[in-house]
Amino acid sequence: MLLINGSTIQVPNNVRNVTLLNFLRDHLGLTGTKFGCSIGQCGACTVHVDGEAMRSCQITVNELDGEKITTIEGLADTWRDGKDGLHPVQSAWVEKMVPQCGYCQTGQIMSAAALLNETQKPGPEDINMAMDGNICRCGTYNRIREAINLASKNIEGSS
Amino acid sequence: MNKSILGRREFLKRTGWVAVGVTFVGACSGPLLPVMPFSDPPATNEGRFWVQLLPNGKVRFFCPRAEMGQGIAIGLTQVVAQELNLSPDNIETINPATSEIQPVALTVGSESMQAFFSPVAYGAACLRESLRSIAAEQASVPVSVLKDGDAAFLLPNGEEISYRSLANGKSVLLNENDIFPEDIKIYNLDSKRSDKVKKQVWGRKTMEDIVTGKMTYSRDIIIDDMLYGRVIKPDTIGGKLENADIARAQEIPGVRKVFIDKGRNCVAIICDKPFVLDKVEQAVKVTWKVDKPFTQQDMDTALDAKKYLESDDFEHTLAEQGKFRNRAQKSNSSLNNRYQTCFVAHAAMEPRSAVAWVKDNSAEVWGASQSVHFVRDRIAQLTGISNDNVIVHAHRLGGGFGGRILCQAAEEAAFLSQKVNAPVRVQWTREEEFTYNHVQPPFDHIINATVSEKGLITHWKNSFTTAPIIFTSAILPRHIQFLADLSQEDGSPRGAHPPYNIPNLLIRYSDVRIPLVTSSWRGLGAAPNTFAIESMIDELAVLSDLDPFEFRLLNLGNAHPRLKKVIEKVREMTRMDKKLPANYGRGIACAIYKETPVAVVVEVHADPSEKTLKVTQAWIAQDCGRVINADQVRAQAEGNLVWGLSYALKEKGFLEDGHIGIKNYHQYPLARMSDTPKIHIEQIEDFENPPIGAGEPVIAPTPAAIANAIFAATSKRFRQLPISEEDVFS
Repeated sequence: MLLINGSTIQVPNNVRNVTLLNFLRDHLGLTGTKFGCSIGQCGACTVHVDGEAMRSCQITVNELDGEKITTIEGLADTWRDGKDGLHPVQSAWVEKMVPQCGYCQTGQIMSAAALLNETQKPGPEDINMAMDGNICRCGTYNRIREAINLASKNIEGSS
Repeated sequence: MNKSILGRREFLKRTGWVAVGVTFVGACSGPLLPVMPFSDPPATNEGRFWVQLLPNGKVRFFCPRAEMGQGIAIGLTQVVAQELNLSPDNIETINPATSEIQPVALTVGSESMQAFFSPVAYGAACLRESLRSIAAEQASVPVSVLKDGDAAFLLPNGEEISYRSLANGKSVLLNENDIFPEDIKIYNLDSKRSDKVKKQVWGRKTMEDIVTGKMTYSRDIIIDDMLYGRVIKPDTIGGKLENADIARAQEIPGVRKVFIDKGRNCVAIICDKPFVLDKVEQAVKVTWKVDKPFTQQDMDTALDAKKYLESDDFEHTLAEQGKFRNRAQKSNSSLNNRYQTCFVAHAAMEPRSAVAWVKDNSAEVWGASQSVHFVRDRIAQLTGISNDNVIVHAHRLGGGFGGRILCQAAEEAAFLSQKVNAPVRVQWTREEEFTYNHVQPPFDHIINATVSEKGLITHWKNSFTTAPIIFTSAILPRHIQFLADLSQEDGSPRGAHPPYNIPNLLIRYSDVRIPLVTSSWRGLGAAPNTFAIESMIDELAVLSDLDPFEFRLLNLGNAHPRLKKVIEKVREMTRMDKKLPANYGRGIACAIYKETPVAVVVEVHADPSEKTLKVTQAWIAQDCGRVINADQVRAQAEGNLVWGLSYALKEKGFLEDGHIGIKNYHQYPLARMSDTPKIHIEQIEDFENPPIGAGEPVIAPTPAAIANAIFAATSKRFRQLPISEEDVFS
């Protein structure tokens, strides 16, 4: 049994050994979490397990029994005043027009949101540390940095 | 007229078939001729078919360009909105399926705004004037009294006739027979009007879809009852299937079909569930046979520019003017240097994927490509179904970069679907994406140049080798490759002609066909060619004891005033006369990418105590003519700078065991967050200059600017990419 985005999900026996990434995408149809490399190198498949960033391609469903999982589809609901249905990190991403092709961005956002859960005002090195595991081939890194700083400010302002 | 045929004829003409008197075109048909991507630019009046008024009064824009992150859908949407007086809420932009628009040129070469601005603006203006006529008729007033409102027209008394009321529950489409004046008023060309549109935020809905995970990429497509396929391909370049044991694989629960196809040189797997694909693939035992594996050394030998120079035998002459022979060379004013780059991968974040459903006489494909009509034509050829009965549904690309014109996953899906009469999904793994997609070829330049005492370049002889880019073996079958090889293409030599005013110029090259499949990668030849040219220019400036900006401006003379302007602009931005701390250095490079002039300055910090090399800042000045969406143009420049940095310092393709040695990102480092410098951008804009490309130019000069900056910081000159920290501190 898993708790995904607030819903209890039963795991049929035949998919217990499937990676969380494949389970989300191909069993539940939650395609916001992306496949990138399958070896934990690119960060496109990042989700939260108990609020911490985790590469969903690196863990199987049976290892997560009882864990609370948040995917990009459920991120906004974890934020108390989710304006326009967006988490402050998502709002900052839109404000700064971060995405180009956009494929890696849901993973980037999940990594950024986990960083801000842990460190409300991250410095440049904190951002490098938290985000270096997420590749963006379009090269939107500077906007990602700006969006994290903006989200940090907005979260601070709202508390 | 079938446009794909027109495109093919045009291609043949360009490759010299007609000129050499080959009457092959009429004499044969079908599979002997390859399917080529349609590449003709659109006629202005084609734009009429890309806009439609919906029953609800909103305008639908069938965006004729593939969106892969370059923001073209946002820019062209603004162009439509400007003509039709729309706010972002009143226009919806879609990626049309092949059945919804006529074939258009493939989306490549940063040419979308340049080639599509006018047709899109014209088409939207035609719709506007048609609506005005309908409004005038309804209100029984002359057309001339109706002024523009917001998604509406205004009567002289101020009363509004909305587009919604004009639609009256029906769609309004322009007819092929509707006639419009050629000089119809184009609002986009009126500088006074453009501010209102520019002040609004465009693309917000797209951004929201992306950040919430709602955007559907080709990998996210779910079709009811689809099956899941994978095609096992040779483990070496040129490998032929000798035998395969599929018995064990066939017994795995969830397998629908496993079969060997010697003709297609593969083993194919179809499963009921996606989760078993890896296991089934592992259970298949295939023996591949290759006579002689293609090695890194074979490739280096095949593309050795020195060898070609010694035999003085090049396939193509790009420029030849002035005198080279029998001249006395003064060694103190000449340089002879070699600059090399290795092959590199696209490494787009989304490995390619498609779902295909091939029925008896029709087929549907859900995928993403830089040319959906090319996918359609390839699938039609593969399945034997006519083009008109194949529909390809277009989705946003998770990165293109020249690597997603080919549609291998869609072809595999169609091939499998035809076998089982059911929809089949094929999603390439990252390993397949690295191994079986084409690559940017290596480049090997030998440049011999001489400067006068005044610092003017008098002689420039560049001899280089690479492999074909546009006439790629990925598309051209073997029997016509030799003909294509006789002609010069614009891919490999792109950017190889220096912009400087050089009286004696000789540029020759060979694009040698090698077993490794080479083709288009962002900017084609521009980055490697500009790396060679602008590194050499820097070395000549040092030799002449001139400031690198001055040296460039001096050697441009009266040529290319717009390039001179961006060089002057970037100098002003960087204030290069400022003294830098120890171990810091700045380098400049510039280029005209197709038509777009761009200059880049990069600052590096090479810290000998930590043995770290870091690009700390970059300055970009670019002139891409009239800018439709300044923020999207900046975004492209930022991304291009990171791309160029990654190419210069990180990316290294290599062959191993007869195949591409890169399997996944751990073997192919790319620029990441901590590698990215501060980037300062200035756009030089003159509204009167039509828009030109912005999606690639900055890539061209960036690697040379980095190498030049490293020289400034360390006095070490690097003439090979990528440049690693180990190289810098060895």
